[in-house]
Amino acid sequence: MVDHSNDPYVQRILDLAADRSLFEKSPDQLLSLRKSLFRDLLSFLSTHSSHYRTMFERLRVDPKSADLQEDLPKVILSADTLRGEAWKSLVIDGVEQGGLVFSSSGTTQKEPVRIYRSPTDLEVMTRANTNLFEFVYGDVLKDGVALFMAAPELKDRLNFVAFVDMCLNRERIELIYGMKLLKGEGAPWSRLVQDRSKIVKFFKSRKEPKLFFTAPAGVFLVCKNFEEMSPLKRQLGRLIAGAPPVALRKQGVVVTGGGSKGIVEVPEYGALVKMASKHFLAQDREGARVPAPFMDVYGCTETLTAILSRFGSHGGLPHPLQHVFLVDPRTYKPLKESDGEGVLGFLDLHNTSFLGAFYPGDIFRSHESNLFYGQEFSFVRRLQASEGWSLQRACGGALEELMSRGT
Amino acid sequence: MEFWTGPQIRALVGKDLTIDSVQKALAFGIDDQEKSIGDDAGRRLLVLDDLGRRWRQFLDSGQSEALIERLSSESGYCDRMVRMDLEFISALLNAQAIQQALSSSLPGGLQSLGGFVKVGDEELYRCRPAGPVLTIGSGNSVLPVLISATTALATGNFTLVRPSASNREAIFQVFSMLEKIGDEETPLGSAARRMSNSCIVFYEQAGGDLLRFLMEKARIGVVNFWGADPALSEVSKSVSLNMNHPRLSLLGPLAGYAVVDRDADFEEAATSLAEAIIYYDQQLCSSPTEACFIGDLEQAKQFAGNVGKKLEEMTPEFPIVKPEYEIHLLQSARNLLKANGSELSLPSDWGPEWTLAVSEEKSNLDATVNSLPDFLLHARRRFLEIVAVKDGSDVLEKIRGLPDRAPFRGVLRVQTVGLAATRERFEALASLLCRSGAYRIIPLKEMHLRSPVEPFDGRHLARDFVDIIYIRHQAGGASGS
Repeated sequence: MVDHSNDPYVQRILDLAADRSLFEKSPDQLLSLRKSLFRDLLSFLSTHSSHYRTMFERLRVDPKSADLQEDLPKVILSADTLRGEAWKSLVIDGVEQGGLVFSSSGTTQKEPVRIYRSPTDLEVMTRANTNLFEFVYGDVLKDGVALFMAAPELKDRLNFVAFVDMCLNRERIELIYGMKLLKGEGAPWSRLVQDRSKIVKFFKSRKEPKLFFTAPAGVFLVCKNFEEMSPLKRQLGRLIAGAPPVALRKQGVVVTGGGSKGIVEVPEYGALVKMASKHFLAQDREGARVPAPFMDVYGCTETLTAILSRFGSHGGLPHPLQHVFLVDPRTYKPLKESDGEGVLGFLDLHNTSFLGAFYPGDIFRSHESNLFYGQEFSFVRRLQASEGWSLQRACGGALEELMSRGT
Repeated sequence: MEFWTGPQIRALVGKDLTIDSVQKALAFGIDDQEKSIGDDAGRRLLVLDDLGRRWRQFLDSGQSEALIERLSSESGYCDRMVRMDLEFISALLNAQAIQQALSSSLPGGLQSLGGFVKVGDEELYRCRPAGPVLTIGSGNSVLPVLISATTALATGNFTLVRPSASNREAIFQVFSMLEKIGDEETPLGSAARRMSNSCIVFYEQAGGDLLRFLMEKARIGVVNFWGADPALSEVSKSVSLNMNHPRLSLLGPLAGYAVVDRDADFEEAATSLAEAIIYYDQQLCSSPTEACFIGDLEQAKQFAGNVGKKLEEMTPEFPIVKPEYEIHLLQSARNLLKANGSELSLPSDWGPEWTLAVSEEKSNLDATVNSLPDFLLHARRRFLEIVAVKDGSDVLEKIRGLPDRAPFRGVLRVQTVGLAATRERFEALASLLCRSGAYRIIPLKEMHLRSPVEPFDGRHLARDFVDIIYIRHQAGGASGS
């Protein structure tokens, strides 16, 4: 078995993932770094995998001279190609063992997307996401307590749960899981129930800052629950559970991720934040009372690092080593302008086990930014699989035409 | 429920077609079908011919534009394609064509519908309607369901027609014209009235109570269905529950296969293949879903380049709008095909309108669909992989193996082989490919065209709709066995 973890390329990625100074570089400097890392990554993959070596040859991509803008569109694929056990054929030869296989929730009735993260990839994921999170959060993560509306059993299966768990553990922030996974059959997401005692523990905690990780639907349900309480129930709630409102204390923040989870009444994000401002309170660095800040995480099984935004401050920012771009939804040619709308593609240069270049299947909007990435991204919608098209090929017959011959 | 029928049945069923009212209609229809046996079949053909003529006028008058627009939005076919589909209706209703079809289909020919026809010294045949016939249409083209309906009516059956969601408007439009002919006090008008009283056209969604009743319980003689799974299995299952045990007349799902020989006229073959790719966006059972080029890889690439040029020329005339998820799959499939060694020919701006992949000896589509399981036939519109092979035996193997491959899931077998070759090579290859299981081997440029005498998927459709009565006279007849 080859130990790739000592490979100079892997070591460099490990170092870069921990490098906070990346966030101080200019967009051009970062693009230049990504361009050079792209070549290094292709060379690394080519050296350690016959699959990639053959693939690059067939695509006429020379790792030594590969161009990020020109050659990335040739090698990027839909995340649908990761369904089932496909990841096994994508990892490099002798991939570092002992990692985790993350899986999508499987709510779409299709085979879930699955991806392997080696121990090195997990370490890189923790370092890089922590740095990005701290940049967007505006401070270093330390102390405090976090409530995560997920079940601990999911940290070995779901990418986002794993990343939050690892980051917070690394920074020694107490992590409380607000949900339980019931035993039984069926998909895990259908067996999740609230763990009220854990939620109350978080509400009553005197630690600070308090970080609340949930889906937008979770924020909505908490707000709705508070709004429907009678005055007496509210008072009792304050007495027993310490809420409403939820006091996130100094530097507290709500971090959302995921979608509406099928709850149709969830308002659009701005309206949700406004709704939540009455029920989630925080204090700024100086201790002044403020509506709780909101951060949003865009991530999916195939993304190693997330795209993070802070409501009212900036849109989605990728990690400096994640090359994010939009393509024309018809031709899949990269958009030339910084401002535009298209299908999101990314290459996460942090991956050391396979080529992490995918189209997750989402439409995004981008605009120029003064921040380190030079661009900010916002989620617009998921690509829709049209209903009914599969019925088209059912006509079974050929045309009937009077042909003079053959009679 | 939306339905159309003749005046006598309308008076029986009232405003709603329900399980109760359809039973009244069936009782009437069965009785009427019996009474009509022996009627002049030629008269029915003349009515259909007149219907075709009026349909032609309707198309030429420009009144069909709104209908074409709606059918286009329902089916995803461009206006030009829908118009082409509707234009074929007149040819389909042509009396001479139907006569030819029945003559070659029925034992004893068309005459056997009107009386006994001698087939041996003392032996006679007579064809009588096996109906009532229930024909269930699916898909986008109006033609399959209309072929069945026309054949069932021409053979004197009481006929219930259930078109598909996307073609129903055209089917209703055609039959409403039958009513107009019936309004006229002429011999033809009288025959048209009779015919419209032999027919109910209705639309109910799949799984509806009436459709279920007709398949599972009603006194139906034949259930005819064009289409693929899951509907195919549902129809078979439902009909098997019917204690009247109707005859099942199933058609599809099949696929087409294109074969281009190294000595073929490349220019003509390229045009023919481009047309076969564009027509009906390859959604017909005769449409090419894969191609073999018998020759070397470089020749195959050159040929694909020619096809690409034709496709580029034809696309503005036959535009196609693909849904975003289909494009998403296609663009990744293109990358996968290239990564697996295929050479691609694409529109100059990389648009999703058409894609040709050239592969050497073996298909790369299997690996592509393995990675992208949704990239199945319905998502591969105007997409063709051309595999360069050494000789005809490679083609034979490929055609035989096609139904077992993941990219062709749901296809039972190859229906049509479209062959481009010199006359001598055509004969030799056709003779070899007869062993492939394909039902039709025809020139590449005619893949989508049918002759009236052609069987449907290995059998004559008209025979599904009749019972053959046999008489043997005693004197000089066959000895007992």
